Amino acid sequence: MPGQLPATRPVLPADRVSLVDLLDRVLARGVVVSGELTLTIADIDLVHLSLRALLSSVRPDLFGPDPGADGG
Amino acid sequence: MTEQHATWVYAVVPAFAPVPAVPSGIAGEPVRLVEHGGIAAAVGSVDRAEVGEEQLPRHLRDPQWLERTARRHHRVVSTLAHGLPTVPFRLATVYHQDGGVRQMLARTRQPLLTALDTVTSRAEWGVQVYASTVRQPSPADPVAGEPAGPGTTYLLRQRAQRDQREQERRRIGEAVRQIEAALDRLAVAGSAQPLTGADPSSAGGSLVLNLSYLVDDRTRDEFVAATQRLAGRFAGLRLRVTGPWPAYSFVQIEAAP
Repeated sequence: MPGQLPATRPVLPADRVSLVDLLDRVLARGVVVSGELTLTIADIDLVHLSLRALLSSVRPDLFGPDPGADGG
Repeated sequence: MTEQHATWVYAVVPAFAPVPAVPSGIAGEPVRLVEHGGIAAAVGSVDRAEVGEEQLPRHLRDPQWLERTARRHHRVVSTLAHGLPTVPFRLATVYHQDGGVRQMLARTRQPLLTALDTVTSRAEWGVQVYASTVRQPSPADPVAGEPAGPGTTYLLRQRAQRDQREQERRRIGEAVRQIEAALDRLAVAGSAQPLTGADPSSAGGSLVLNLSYLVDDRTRDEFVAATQRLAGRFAGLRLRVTGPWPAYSFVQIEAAP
């Protein structure tokens, strides 16, 4: 496949990042574009809103270990 | 790609740059580049059974699917960011086909180039400040001054509580000012985030400040050292520093319609 990147094992311990920190970034931030998407932006915003509620009602069982100063 | 697959976007990087070896994507698929006009989207072809317009909203509400997917998405984005300027895309940016991605790159080229410029040789750091919960005076606490009747004692106690809260508020405000002043000058940009997403391991403390900083690689060591110095400076306050992150919080772009 043209442009395919060489495969490798993960080089960063992404599984050690706290889930709260991670979801707050990948769902609330990052580039948002419109266009020929399969999912409307409103759908994601809804997920994010319900997630906010979930995150604020702290569910420790849902969150991964927090390595402290290690964002990946 | 076939009708069976949709195209999941991880990030945008400069085209023609040496690309680091990248782990597989959210569905185990190889990550590849879709290029247009000197920029490239890192994408994966994912089965519509995973990310079709009917399945995706349901999957996003499944905590296990969401966690697994968020971690794999981040793994790709952070690996890219480790090796080259990377503009992260929000989770679940999915196009029907590669053609849609190319159109997006064409339509959003200028803001994406600006964003690539912003994140080059820089990383994001998270700084959260937690205040330990203030103990409320109990009725058993002695009240300063001469022995007094129950009414006076009550009023004195009320006033003491009010004074204590006000003192605490001022103390936190002053600490926050000092923290921001010390870190602002070592960062390219800073942004205050909502006071949500508190670290669940910080039970007993409340999140009073949630900052994201974009830090240049050249001032990175100084920035980290400053957070360590600040961490021990304020009694009753705890600093929680995370990073380096891909610049998730510094790529808000206005996409042209």
